[in-house]
Amino acid sequence: MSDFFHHSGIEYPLLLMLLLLGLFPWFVRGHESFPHPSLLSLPKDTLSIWVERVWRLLGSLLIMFMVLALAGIYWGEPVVERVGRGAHIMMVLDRSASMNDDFADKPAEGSVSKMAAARRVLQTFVDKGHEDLIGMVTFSTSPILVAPLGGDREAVKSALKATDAGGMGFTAIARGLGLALDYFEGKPMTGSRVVLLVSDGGAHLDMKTQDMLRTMFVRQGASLYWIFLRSANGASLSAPPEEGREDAYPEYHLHQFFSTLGVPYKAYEAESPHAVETAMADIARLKNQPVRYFEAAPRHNLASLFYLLALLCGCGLFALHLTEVKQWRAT
Amino acid sequence: MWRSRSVQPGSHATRTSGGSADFRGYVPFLENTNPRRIDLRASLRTFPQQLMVRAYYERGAIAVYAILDLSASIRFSGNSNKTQLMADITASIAWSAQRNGDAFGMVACDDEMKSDLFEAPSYRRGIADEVYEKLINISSLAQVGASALPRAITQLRRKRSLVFLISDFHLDERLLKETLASLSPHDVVPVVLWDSAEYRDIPNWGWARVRDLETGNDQSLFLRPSLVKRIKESYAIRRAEIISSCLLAGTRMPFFIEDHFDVEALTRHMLEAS
Repeated sequence: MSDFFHHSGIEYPLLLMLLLLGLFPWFVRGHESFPHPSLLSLPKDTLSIWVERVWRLLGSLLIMFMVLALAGIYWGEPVVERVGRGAHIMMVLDRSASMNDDFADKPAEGSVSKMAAARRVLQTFVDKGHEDLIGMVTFSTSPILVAPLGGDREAVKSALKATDAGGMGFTAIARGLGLALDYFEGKPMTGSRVVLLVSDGGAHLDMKTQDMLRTMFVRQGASLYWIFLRSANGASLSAPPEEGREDAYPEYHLHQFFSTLGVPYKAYEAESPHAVETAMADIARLKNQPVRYFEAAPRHNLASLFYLLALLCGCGLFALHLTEVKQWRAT
Repeated sequence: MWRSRSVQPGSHATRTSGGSADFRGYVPFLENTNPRRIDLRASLRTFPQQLMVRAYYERGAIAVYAILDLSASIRFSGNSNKTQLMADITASIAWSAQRNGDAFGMVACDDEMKSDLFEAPSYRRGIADEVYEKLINISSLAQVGASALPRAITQLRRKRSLVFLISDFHLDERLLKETLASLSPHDVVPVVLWDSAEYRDIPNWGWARVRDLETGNDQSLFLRPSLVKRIKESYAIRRAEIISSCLLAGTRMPFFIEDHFDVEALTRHMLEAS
């Protein structure tokens, strides 16, 4: 019962002032009564006194139940505390036009685009990691927040499904990462934070942007995993480009920059759909400290229950009314 | 049986000597020099011989009072109208008294003495009609009791009179005792006005609220056969209490009237007592 009071609430507390109306039945006088010369000569009858009290009580309860129902009484904890063992993962998914290609350079019939491969693997990842908090940001020319960090898997999966539409535009990695990191801001650090970057290419970052990203990563304490979807004959992250052609390989420079972030960083080069799966399995295996987080729980509206109770009180009143003596005569 | 001290000629026994109705005894001729009353046989029985005459008590009139309890409960009207009933009875007593050559007076009280309804004892004709008119036209809605009843004695003659105390006797024990005690110098006939709708003619089943006419208090009654039985029992007990209180105070047997006033019954009741 105390649990009930603890977790119940009122939508319009001002209406509770109407509860005072519940006192009305206790003071009401002037209902029809039969005159009698002397009540003193009538015996005192306990049952009759209680019938009268029950009658007033029912009226009082009827009014109070109605008021509570009108005020919108509900039951339910506003937030439920959950403990998860997963990580806080912000997935940052590249949706630039190049993701539509397959792992070979040219798209061929029946082959799988990089986007499709990444999507499939990410979907299984989302399905498996039941204890992770997952959010998602996609980016092409500019970043789009798709799903905020939370336990809502359906939103993330729907977002993944929506990437079917095909990518377009350029690769604005820095802004995507920035938006993803923004979502860690102000949240309690209850689990390890992971930014999972899935992209098939890099971009040049100027010094200012680099400094900003570095600060943000350090402040949020997030580790970075980069799944680099490499084209079959694309440049590797580890091999330094030839002298004088540094500008043609932004991926290498990005890799170098990430390594200097000062936070845990790991890059996976995936040349095939299979390689993507291995990389994801790797990440999923990462040991994480337990995560405490709160989840909004739906409320139960109790108004209908209270209307029902009021109705029952009304029925009781009506039943008592039916027993009332209409004529003071022996039958 | 008591002898009044009245000097007004009437039909009741008095302590006044004279007349020819109630034989008192033999007295020497010199005490009552009426030659028509000389009794020779009584004179011969005396020694030394002297003339004896028969002495008689005078027949005289008495004062008949009606003391009315005009508390709010009298306004109850169930199977009969108690106000009407009270007017009928009072008028009937007034008429009998006047026809019998007795004086009739009336004192009415609720929580105070009702001076407008007071009638000093009088022999005048038509007093019955006057009293009836007055009583039938009482219209009061106040919730009053009958706490002035013990003071009614101050309005009565000091000579012993015949007093009809007409009330429903829904008085608390103390008030009833005080009233009866105050009236003890007189010959009191309690007349109890009850109504069958108070306790007998009530529904067997159902929830009813009853309102006390005097105090205005409400009481809830969930009527059912067992409660109806208890109400009847409670009235039977009350009836016994009234009788014992009255007899203890030295009045005559109370006369109970329920719904209907039967003059014959009252006459019989009075004759049985005397």
